[in-house]
Amino acid sequence: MGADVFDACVVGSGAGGGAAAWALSRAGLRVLVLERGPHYTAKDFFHDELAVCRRDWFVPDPAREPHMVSRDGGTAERSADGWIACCVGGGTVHMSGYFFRMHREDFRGWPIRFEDLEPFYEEVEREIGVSGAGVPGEPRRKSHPLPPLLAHPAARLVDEACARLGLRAFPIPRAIVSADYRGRQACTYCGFCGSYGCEVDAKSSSLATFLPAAQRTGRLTLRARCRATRIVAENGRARAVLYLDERGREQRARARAIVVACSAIETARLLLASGVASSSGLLGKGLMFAALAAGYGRFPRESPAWSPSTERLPFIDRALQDLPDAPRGTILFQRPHPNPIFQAEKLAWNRSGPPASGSELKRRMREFFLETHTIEWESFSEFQPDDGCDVSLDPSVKDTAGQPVARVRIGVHPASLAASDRLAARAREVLSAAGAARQGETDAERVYTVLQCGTARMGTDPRSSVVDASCRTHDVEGLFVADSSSFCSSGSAPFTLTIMANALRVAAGIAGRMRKREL
Amino acid sequence: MIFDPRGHLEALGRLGRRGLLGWAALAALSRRLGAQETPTDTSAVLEAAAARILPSDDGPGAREAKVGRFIDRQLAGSLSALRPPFEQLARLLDLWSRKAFSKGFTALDPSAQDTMLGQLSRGELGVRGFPQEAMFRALHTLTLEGFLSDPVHGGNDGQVGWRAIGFPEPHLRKPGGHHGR
Repeated sequence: MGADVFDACVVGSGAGGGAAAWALSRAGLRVLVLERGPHYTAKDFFHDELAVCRRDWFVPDPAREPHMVSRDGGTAERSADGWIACCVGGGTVHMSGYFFRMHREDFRGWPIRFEDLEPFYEEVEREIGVSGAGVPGEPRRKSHPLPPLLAHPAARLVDEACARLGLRAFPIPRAIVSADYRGRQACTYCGFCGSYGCEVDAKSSSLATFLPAAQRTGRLTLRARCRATRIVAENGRARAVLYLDERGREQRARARAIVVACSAIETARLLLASGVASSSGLLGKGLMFAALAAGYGRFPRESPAWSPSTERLPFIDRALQDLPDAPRGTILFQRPHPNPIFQAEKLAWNRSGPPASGSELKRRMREFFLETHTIEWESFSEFQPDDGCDVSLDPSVKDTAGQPVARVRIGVHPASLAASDRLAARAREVLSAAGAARQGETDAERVYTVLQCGTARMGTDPRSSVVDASCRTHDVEGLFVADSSSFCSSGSAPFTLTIMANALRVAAGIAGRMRKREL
Repeated sequence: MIFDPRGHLEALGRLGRRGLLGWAALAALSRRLGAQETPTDTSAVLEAAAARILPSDDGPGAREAKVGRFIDRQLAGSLSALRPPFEQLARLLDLWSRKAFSKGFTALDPSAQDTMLGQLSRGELGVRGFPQEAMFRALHTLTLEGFLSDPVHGGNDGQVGWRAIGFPEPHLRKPGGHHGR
């Protein structure tokens, strides 16, 4: 068993891992990144819904590498839920790229404040390229580095409806470059964003931004298809990461700083399996997601807002945030995803009973695909911590490496549902005012499991938190967490930008301590 | 929702290693119905069932899209782990059809097939130990996939499914086919 030696070893290469790897290597450190998935590049991406979105191209096959997921106290079943893309760049490769900052009030209960993250928010937005026109009510010293993406003319329906209701819709800030930026090509508006990799690297993923920038320092070693199996700590000090290389052989990498960023569920699983950072008894306990509601409005086919010449423009990209007389939260208005199988499944869904078949199913498909236009909405609100929501090691089911898989209990606090319901009512008001002929709800889980956090919370007291304000584990020197595991709340908007900003902050702390020879 | 949250792997993944009806129990049912000598053509039964989920009455359906061929290829390929439960599903539909209508499932008229599939979808066929609702959902998912997936997978023959919904052929149907940067 060989032992490589690095200054820092980052486990995971997504939003947190990619950002941390860049910041650490830029600071002069020799960095190893271990990523369990393959290293796809832009030329590998293609638009085959079945292969890319519905089989194991991005996420593992639940028959082989499941999460054991139970909902609302039900029995645990094999599932792909809770997995995020396993590839270099992680979830940022197949994200939609809704890039909101958290607001000051989102940091209640955190040991850090908005001001601690503000310079890092600015750095991420500038470094990777975020397109937007600011966010009303959001603290912001600098405007977005790129103007908003081109919106479909139907965005006007949302804008005008909101204005009539005394609300102000604004373009969704997106991690997609609206103009050529730092050698990357502008978005081509193909519409295959979420669930797909971007074939022109216009999406500001870690794959297209942080990782190539880190490689240009000459100090990054990136190892794909390498699965970390254990963090080795001795005498309260992190020493090494054990991993299986692409041929399944066990390897050991030593580093002065070990930075875990595998997403909240898999980070908790790796730390639990390693028997580290668990003295508080809270590791894996505080699992949170984004609370979600979703629905749609159907609009008449013949309308100036939907002229055939603009049919292919994919984005409406309008948002409302923190409305008066509503719980804090974000409502996004968007055109439907282009995936036809996904849409047909949603059309077949019934609130109770089996999915629609036969002439009823074909009628619904005709209405959606041929006879109307659709504006969809999604609401994001803060996920209230729930005792029935956590990650542990499954007592019996093992992955292909013989390690216990994650057992995930998903429980939703009634207060989260109530907040979602109130935001949903506001979204429906907007679509009514916009002239929707008919509205409905979407078959959606009430949580968005792709946005997961809280399993290794930050805090000052080692009895009530897993990591300190610098995201170092209380128990183990040299062991850090740089994904959303450390978050103390889910905020009230998608939080991928906050993962990246916090990872830069964590990395700056590590580099600073190394300079002072404290690590 | 611009992100497709992978309901598919959910629907199919949950079936994974679920306790299925034992083959012995199916054999016993066959004997009771005096049908043990009559083999079931799994492909034909699944194709007939798919053709009721997406019928061909007013425009193309599962048959024109060759959804049966798609399902065959999936169960021989990336979903081979699900072949046994789908074989059981086909056998169950066929046996139950013989019991209720004295002929095999594929020989039934469409309304009788609809009746049986409706019962299956609500778990109302009188067979215990078989996840009827889950298997109906899985068949439903495979039918939509076979109708609307890239023809390279064996269904959506001649893009008949895409044309029926006005879905434009995506560029980049295969990796490496673009002119990127």
